[in-house]
Parts: sequence; C-alpha cells; structure tokens
Amino acid sequence: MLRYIGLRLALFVPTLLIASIVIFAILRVLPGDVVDVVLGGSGEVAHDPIQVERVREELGLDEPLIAQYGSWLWSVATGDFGGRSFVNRTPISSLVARQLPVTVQLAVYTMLLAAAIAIPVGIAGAVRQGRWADFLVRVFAIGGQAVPSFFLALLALLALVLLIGWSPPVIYDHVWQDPVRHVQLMVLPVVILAWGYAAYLTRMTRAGMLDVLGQDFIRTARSKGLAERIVLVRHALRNALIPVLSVAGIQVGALLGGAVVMETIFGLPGIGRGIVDAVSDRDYPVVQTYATLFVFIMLTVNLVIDVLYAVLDPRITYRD
Amino acid sequence: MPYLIRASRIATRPARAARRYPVGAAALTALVAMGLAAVFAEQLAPFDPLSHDEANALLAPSAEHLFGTDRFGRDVFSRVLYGARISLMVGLVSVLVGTVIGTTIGIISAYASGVADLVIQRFIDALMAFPHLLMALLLVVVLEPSPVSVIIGITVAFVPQVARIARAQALSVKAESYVMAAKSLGGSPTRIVGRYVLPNSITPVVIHATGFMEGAVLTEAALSFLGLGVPPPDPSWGRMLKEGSEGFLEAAPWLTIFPGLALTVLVFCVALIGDGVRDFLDPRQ
Repeated sequence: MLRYIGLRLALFVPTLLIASIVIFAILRVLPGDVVDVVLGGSGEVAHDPIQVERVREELGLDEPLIAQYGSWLWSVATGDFGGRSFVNRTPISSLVARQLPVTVQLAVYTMLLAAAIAIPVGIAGAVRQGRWADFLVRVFAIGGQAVPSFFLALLALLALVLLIGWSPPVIYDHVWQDPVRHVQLMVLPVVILAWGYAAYLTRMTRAGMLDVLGQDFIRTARSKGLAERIVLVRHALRNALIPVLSVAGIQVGALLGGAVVMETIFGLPGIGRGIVDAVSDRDYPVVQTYATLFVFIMLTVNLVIDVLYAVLDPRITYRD
Repeated sequence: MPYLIRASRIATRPARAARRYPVGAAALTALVAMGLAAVFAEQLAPFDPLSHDEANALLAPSAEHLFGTDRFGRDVFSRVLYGARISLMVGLVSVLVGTVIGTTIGIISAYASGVADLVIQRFIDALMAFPHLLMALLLVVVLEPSPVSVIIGITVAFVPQVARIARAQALSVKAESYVMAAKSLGGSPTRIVGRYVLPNSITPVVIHATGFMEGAVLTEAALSFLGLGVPPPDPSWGRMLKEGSEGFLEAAPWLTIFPGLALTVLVFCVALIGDGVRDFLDPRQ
C-alpha cells in the first residue's frame, strides 16, 4: 500500500507541471498578442507605447518562452505566486491567501454533506430496489444531475425572498469571524452543490450495493446469522464504495465548476469568482496562477481519494 | 455485435422499442421536438428575438407574449426558441467532434503502447485535472468569445475523458483472441484497428456520450451565465439567465424561470436518454 501511495505521490508533481505548461501555452502561444489582449481591443488600434512597454516588461515578453515560464514557476516555488495583479497591483500571494480558504471551505462542506446524504440514500435505494423508496432515490439522483445548479440557486433566492422575505448576507465572513453569518451565506450554495454531487454518488452507491448484495459472501454473512446492519455496512458497503470513490474523484471537476458559478451568484470571495474576474479583466498573471491552483485542488482531492481506495481495498496495487 | 442487431430492431419496430424503453422513448421524442423547434425557430417564433420594443418592456407572461418580455421589450418565448439552437448545436457538435478525436487518441495510445502511450497518458492525466468549465473558459477567452470558440473550448475539455475510456476498452480488446488471430493471419494494423479494435471499443464511449452532452450543454450555459460564452445579441439560455437575474430576479422572474426551465428540460431529456442507452447497451448495470 505504501508503494502504491508513493507512486501516486510521484505522479503528482509531473502532472501539475504539465498542466501548468498547458495553461501557460493556452495563455501565451495561442494566436493573438497578449499585449493587445491585456490592453483590450484588437491589433488595429494603436496602444500607448508606454503602456505596451510596461506590459511587455512585466510579462517578460521579450524573453524566450521557456525563460518566461521558468520565471513564473520560480516565483510560485518561492511563494510569490506569479507576482502582482495587473489590475490593482495586489500581490497574488495575498489574493490567494484571502480567496483560497473560501473555495476550500465551500468544496469541503459540499463533499461532506454529499457523502452524508448519498451513502445512506444509495443503500436505501438498493435495499428497497424496485419499490417506491427506490423510485424516490432515482428521482433525487436524476434531478441532481439534470437541474443546473445556477438555475436552482436563482430559484432558491427568488423563493426565499418571495416566501419569507429573506436573502443571504451580502458580505462574506469566515466561520471564525461570524459563524452565524457564515452559515447563512454558505448554506444555499453548499446544499445546491451537494445535491448535484450527491446525485452521482447516490447512483454509484445504489448500483454498487446491488452488485455486491447479490454475491456469495453476503449470503454467507447472512446465513451465519450476522445482523443485517452489519452485513450491509461492514460487508457490502465497504466493497460497494470502491466505484463510488472513483466517481467522487471524477466529479470533483464538476463540483469546482459549480463552485465557480456559485461564488459568482452568492458573492463569495473565493478563487472561482477570482478567476472569472481575472479572466474578464485579462489579468493574465492571476489567471495563470489561479488556473494552476484549480488543477492543484483537483489533483489533491484525487490523491486523497486514491489513498482511501488503498485503505478500503488492500488488494489494490499500483497499475496504470 | 449483438447490440447492432438490437439497434436495427429498434429502428424497424419503433412501437415495440417504445414499449420496452418507455422513458427513453418519451425523452427522445421530447428531444427531437426541441430539435425541430430549434431548426424551425424562424417559422415558430411569434416575434423577432432581437428587435427592441421599449414600449412593451418587462411585460408579464400573457397570451401575446407567452413567456413575457425582457427589459428591451424582446419576446422571451421567441428568444427561448432561438436559444435552443445554441444549446443543441454546442451540445451535439462538441460531443460528435470530441468523441471522434478522443476515441482516435485513445485507440492510438492503446495500440501504440510503450513510450508513446506513456507520454500520451501523462498528458491526459494533466488535462483531466482541469475542471471542464475552467478549460472551456480559458480557451474561450483566449480565442475571443464566439459560438465556434465555445464549441472548441468545450470539445477540448471533454476529449481527455473520452480518450481515457476508449483506451481502457481498446487495451482489453487488444488482448482478445480474435485480435491475435487477425494479427497472426497477417492483418495490417489499419485493418486490425478499423475492423476489430474500433468497433469493439466504441460501446463504453457511446454509453458515456450522453453524459458528455449533458456536460457540454451545462458548460455552455454556465459560460454564458458568467458572461464569457456566446456574445450578445444572439440569445443563449445561459446569458438570458444572467440578464434576467441581474436586478430583475424579483421584478420579472419570468426572465429567469423560462430559460432555466428550457435548459433543465433539455438536460433532463439527455439524461433520461442516457439511462435508456445504458440499459440497452449494458444490461448488467
């Protein structure tokens, strides 16, 4: 197991590096002069030469691409996170320190809530296969999959205002600053994102449990007189969770995409809203660093999931 | 390939197929209806979706304006009809192109094996670490927002997953005895891939295709909702949601509700068709 985790860890850094090169390539190599994009407008409009010079210098555009990428990488490695924002000159490191915790909290709450819903609901669907409870479970799952999170968020805001005249706070507080307001603001985005994320986990839990419950060792466990709860949780669930975990890893991308939209709707100052603002402002240094951060989060969650795999199923060894 | 035989039965006896897969058939009918509505939007729309009519701005739904009007007096029903074009076009084109490219890469990777496979797989690892929305967003912004760049962005976002699925299947097909037999009979690589590996690797890709279409439609809507997708004035459901929710959520909820419902119904149909396809192609699950 340690060898497996070690190999997973060894792949982490190269994957992150390749992804950051891809981001760099998208931002720098694709057609269009970065300077024009940063300053707005197409190449036909002449820009103030002083501004052009400033942008060129700041991005290091006169240097070869490899040197440009290298200096970005070096500044990330030294905790500088790619220098300063183009728009308001804030150091990117302080932007990250302010915005990253918001997104991480949003994602962690969502994953915990989704798991807490999906696993029991999925088990219930499998145990009561074909009955009305199972039907409700399937409606829950397909609804979470098909209702767009941002539409749901708008409907929820609308309903709350019309029905009880309440809308969430406008200003974000960390949980350690003002726990009540923190919960008031986070509850809607977390519940909405969790429904979407739980939809896939529920489906996989249900399918996995159905698969496992038909197997011989379950019949053995039951025939030796184990309580049904123990059969379900200790024997069946442990095996059924393996495909659930792989879906949990794949769906993190959708979860983070949803987080970007939720942060925009609810005014949460996270990196999702940060990257949307940076993209709209053509703030390239921020875009480069934030996009890499998103990849970093994806890879970290998937690394944790891979470790959980190995814990759940000792038979798993590293294979490509 | 027994499923091809079953597929041909479905084509020749639609009534029987509809009885066997009632939900999928209903969803498919609804999707076809939406497709027709999109194609014939010009004939069906009661108003020009772009023409301003300030005198009739922000009217609630009525017999004349089924879904009401927006702040420029544009007819929301007509705009929702035209908006189906963007959603369906982005969904269908990016799934088709993405599936073809992804399957090609996956099969080449599986068939090449060795260093080439290793290099391609590490790249796919890295690309799969991008949330779809993020990859699409980066590409759309760099390519300048337009329907074509939205399609390119979404396609690129989904290709790595298709490639991974196709490769996994192609690897197991490659080890089958009929492929060995074809090889030992002196079949050329093109023949082996085209005749044996490809047709037998495509099923899981097809099963996942509806999932990609859901993702593509939702990603387009999210991009437009963020103001980074299809540029105005062409109506897109995502941008209609953005415009409707910014300041008009309470005053004119129809601006939010109708495009949102249209989007939900479309994704719902695709999801239900996906369930039907999965039951049909992979009865074990």
